[in-house]
Amino acid sequence: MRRIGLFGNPNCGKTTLFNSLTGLRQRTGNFPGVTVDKKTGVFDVGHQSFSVVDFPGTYSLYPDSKDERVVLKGLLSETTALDLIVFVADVNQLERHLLLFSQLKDCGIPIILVLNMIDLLEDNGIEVDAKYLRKALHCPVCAVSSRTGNGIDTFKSLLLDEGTFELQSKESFNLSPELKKFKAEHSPVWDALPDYLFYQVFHNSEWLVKADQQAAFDAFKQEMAYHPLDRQLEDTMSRCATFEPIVERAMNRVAKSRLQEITTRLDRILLNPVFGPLIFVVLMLFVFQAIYAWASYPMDLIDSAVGQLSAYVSASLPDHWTTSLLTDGVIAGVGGVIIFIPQIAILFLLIAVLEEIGYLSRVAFMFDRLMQLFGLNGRSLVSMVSSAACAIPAVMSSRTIPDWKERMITIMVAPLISCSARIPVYALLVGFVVPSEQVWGIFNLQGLAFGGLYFLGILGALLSALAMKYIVKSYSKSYFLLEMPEYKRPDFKNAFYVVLEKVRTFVWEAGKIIFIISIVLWGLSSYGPKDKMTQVEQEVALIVNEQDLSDSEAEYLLSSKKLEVSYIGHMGKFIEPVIEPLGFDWKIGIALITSFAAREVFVGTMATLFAVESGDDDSSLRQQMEQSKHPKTGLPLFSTATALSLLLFYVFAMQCMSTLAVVYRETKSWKWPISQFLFMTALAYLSSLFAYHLLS
Amino acid sequence: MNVFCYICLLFGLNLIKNRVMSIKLSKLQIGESAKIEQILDKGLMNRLYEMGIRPGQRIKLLNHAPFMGPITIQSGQMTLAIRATYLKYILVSKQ
Repeated sequence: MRRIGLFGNPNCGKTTLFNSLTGLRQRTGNFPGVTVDKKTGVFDVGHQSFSVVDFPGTYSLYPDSKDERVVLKGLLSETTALDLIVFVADVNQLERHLLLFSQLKDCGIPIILVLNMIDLLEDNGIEVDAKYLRKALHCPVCAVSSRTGNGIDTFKSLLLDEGTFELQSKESFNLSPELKKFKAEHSPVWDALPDYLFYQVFHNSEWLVKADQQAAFDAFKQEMAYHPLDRQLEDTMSRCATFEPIVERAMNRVAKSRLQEITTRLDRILLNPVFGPLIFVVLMLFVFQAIYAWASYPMDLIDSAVGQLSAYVSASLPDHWTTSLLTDGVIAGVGGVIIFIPQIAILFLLIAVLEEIGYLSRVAFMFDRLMQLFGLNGRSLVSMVSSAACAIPAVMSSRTIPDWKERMITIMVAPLISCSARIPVYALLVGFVVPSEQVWGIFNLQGLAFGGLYFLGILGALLSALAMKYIVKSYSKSYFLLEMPEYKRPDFKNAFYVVLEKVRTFVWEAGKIIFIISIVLWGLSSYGPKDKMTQVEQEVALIVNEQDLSDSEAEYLLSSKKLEVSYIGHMGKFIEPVIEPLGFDWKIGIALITSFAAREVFVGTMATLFAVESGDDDSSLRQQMEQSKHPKTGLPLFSTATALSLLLFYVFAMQCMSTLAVVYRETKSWKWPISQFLFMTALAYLSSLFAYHLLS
Repeated sequence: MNVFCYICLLFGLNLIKNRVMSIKLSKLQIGESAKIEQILDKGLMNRLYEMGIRPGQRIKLLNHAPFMGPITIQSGQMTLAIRATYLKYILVSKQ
């Protein structure tokens, strides 16, 4: 199978070509060491199969960030040894796109130039002479439109031509005499490398060369007084000087660009200092509405389907621990994973469309300064808004942030924004803190308290981001030169592939972890030391007999007592000394641990512990909670101080294994989710401690 | 009268200065075109070259982002956003 590498500038339509070539035969992995998606796929032309790697879009071989290094690394690595480079260029901006092309052409790999977006030529009032380009650039050239599919067949037939895979022109790069000498001195390691690639290795030796060779490179650089920025400029300028006349002859501007005209007009409104942000707010309200409200229909459907399935299974199988494992462990675990799919799918559909249109770059532009203050990117705003519905799609959406540091900070602080899973907890507890009264005739006091909790989350996120701006190390000095692409109609096929890929990675990579943890949580809450479990069963039987309880009452009492002596119950009691300063007892401790599965589980666990039915109406649970006393002081357990302290704990604490699993998947390291868990828990603990001691 | 002449002279000189001499890109108004004369930061110059922007080219200032943020300039077919902090390194002339 022949290996093809797709290269090109950002916004050149590379991914669209990749999608239309490979269709569903693609998968997404990671380039080693960085958080850049590595898309690979296979496709057939006739009887020949080709494998293709989609490299990230860059403007040149000189990397501007850690993520861009994968392009040069990919060219040098043995494992991805390429038979052909397919260079995709936006034909409307050919002059700019040819720089990377001319660099790749010197890498000793056969290359094809694909002129993409020919469908827009007319709109842009441009004519291109492809025949002349073929002659002048000494390589096969073909014109396609990856969006309409025009010319794809011609491109494919080029791949069947053996001549395409033969090197057609000599290298145009001349190594300086000193470097030539150095290369010869250090043979045979570098012998096989084309001169230009060797120059790039030399230029980037500080991160590209193995540690044992580092010293030789450093010494030589010092000796010849090597100025990297000057050399880079020299290389770039001489390349531009070569291809500029070629482009000038090949391209003919016949009319004014209609697309640019439209773009400039739209930008006058969409980037207006007043209307721009307003339009953004409206758009974000729409996005929020979509993942908060519309996603709830399919989510409810999944929820009830999972519930029915588990009820059906437990009714038709014998009462045995395996049945419980299947229903409360496996089915509930799978349900806990797929319940997130609607939100992820809807958010990424919207994000993909906004990206396709060209709007997301404008968001980054408009809010750059504001978000910079907090070490974030303009695009972080989209993630933060999404996080108000659910942190999982929000963390996944941070991929659109190009800067590594800004992306990490966004991932770290996004879960502090109050998500929809916190609402049931807030709703249950807020009544213990403030009464349901009207103030100033229009506001409900509890509604205001709700708003206050959300505000605290936002404040916590921004302040944490500010702190991390000074803590997280930055790997690159980025100049933030951001291209504003012309507005285009969205290509829904592309959006579909984005959604598919996001759902797939979530289910298979984060889903695995979520599934395992939910099985573990099930085991811990259904099992306990054997003698204690039997003892509890006997006790309950005695009470049931004495007080003549109904069947359901007896069942609630049994599950309450069982949970108390289960391993999780023991853990709740074990952490009691730690959470006692916050005003919590072991019951709350148990609920804190179980709600690690999902925050709203807190309400269900409380209901089990107080042996009441949990349902849509929590009034009986609230009553029980009001009557319960603190085991040591004898005062009401849910005093204003405790309830507020618990509320604050839920605002800030990282009580969500699914988010941690997704953070692991996005950062590819346990360092980030663990430090996130620690800092959010610390923030929660300290603010709860402060609030409790202030009020009690 | 003398004062008036002096002010006129200053005003005229300033006009000439703006036309002939290089000014920082940050001094350009929205909608104004200018020619890039010099880029003072080498790293920035490298990046701008890669994106097709180089001395001698004509650019047009299109938008200011709110909150004193970046600006967008148009050069040929491309629109590019540049952070306000880098504008002082780009010298242009309005001729």
